[in-house]
Amino acid sequence: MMNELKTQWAQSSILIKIVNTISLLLLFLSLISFPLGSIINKNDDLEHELNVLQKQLNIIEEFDRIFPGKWRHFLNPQINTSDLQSDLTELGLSNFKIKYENKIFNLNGQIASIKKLTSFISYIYNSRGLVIDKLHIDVISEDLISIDLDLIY
Amino acid sequence: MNNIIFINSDLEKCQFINSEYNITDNLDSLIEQSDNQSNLIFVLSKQCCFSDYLEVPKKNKSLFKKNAKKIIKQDLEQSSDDLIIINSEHKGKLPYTVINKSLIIALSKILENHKLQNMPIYFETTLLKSDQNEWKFLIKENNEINIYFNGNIFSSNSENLSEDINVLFNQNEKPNLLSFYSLKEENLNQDNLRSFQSQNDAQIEYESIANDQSLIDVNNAIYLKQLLKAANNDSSNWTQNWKTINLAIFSIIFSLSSLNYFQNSTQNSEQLEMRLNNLFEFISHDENTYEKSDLLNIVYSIKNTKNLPNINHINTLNYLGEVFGIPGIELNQLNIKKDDTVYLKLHSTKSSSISRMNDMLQNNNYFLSKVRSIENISDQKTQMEIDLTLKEMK
Repeated sequence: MMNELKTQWAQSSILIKIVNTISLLLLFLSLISFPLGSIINKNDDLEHELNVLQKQLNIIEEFDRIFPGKWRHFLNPQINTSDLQSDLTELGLSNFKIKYENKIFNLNGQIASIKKLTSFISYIYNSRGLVIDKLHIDVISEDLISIDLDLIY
Repeated sequence: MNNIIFINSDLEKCQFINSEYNITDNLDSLIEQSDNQSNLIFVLSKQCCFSDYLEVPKKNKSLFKKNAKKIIKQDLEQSSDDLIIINSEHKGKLPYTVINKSLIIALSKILENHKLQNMPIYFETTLLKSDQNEWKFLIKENNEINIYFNGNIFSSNSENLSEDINVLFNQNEKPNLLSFYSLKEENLNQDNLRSFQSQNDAQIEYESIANDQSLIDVNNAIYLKQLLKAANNDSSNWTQNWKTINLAIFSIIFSLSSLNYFQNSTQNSEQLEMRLNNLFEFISHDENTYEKSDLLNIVYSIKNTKNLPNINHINTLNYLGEVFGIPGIELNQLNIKKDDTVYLKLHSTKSSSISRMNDMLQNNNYFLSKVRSIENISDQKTQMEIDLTLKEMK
């Protein structure tokens, strides 16, 4: 068969030889372009990466529906008691006693108004990512409210 | 003295002729045996090629010439290995010769071996020039006679010559001159031809082409280079060489597909990268910029937040404010428990406030309520204890 091919090749015109050579070259280039395209473009890797990202975003989105913005705090180190104490001092709530037990901060003290309490809770949620685990409010008088608050990270 | 080699389709049986002798052998040997190769005259015998002409119409000449090969192919049962050589138009006629391509290739190799590739080659069918006025007769070996008339050739023999000529005279206009040529002088036997002369008015001449090369129609000479070029450029070669065409078409289709695949793949890759970047940009709308590892850490942390309550109680406080923010209602105690239920102790200072609160308890979107107790603690103050459970929010 090879001899026959050689004979045919020898008898063919220069133009046909050129056409055959170009055709074979095109075929060869086409054949190597398939794996080469996959290597260059790395689509599988990108698709996998995108799928992983999509799943991660779905998890974050689901969590964010309950606790908006809290997920961003997971990249920061968890707040400790002294940080919380300094926050309370800054907000004029230095009379609060803090206990940390079983990953829960227990805050106990008095506050002048509910409004001040909600502002503190919002601040501590937005800046530190702490959420209410338990809350007990006892209104003693118009400007004295006893608070027992459990916060969890 | 000229030496003529008649090339037959079988190159093993070619004829070497000069005025002295006649040898039949293969072409290669005949050339080698020749004393003076530059004096050789190569003639392609009528067995290995076919000559005829087409009448050129007066209108659309160029179009006709362009399609001449197709017309010839239609008229002839041409084999795939045949080559059609069209000569230039002469007096409204387009002469052509059909010859086997393999023979040309074999011939070229032999002539190239002897460095004779630049020698002219003549076709026996057009070896002598003829027109209406002069018909030529070539007397060959074995009493064979070629009659060249009006650009055509007719094969006859010495026995039937008179009859054949009469038939040709009846079909064509009689010429003024009949010229008899021979390859060998001895073949010009004038006695044999005298009887023929007495029957015709035409003037008759006798000559030997072996001694006078000028008798050959040099205009019909063709060179090996031309034959090879014609063979290589023959358009029918394309249709015959279906393997090349198939390979070319297949490679073009395949390369276009691979190009298309590559472009789509690249485009898809760009889109994926853009989508990835957009997603990162979307979640990085605050001051922070997130990396892939950051998201992984966040997801890991989220999965480990099993101690968190199921409800964000900042919302609970907001809902409580919305539902119980009624003038005349004061909070006394609030207890958000671990099980996400809410205990409320409220004081009402207005009687109308209680009915409004009742409405709110029944019609609000956030809580299912259970009134634990209502108690008048003074003339103007009523105390209520209520248990609340958050409705499932959609």
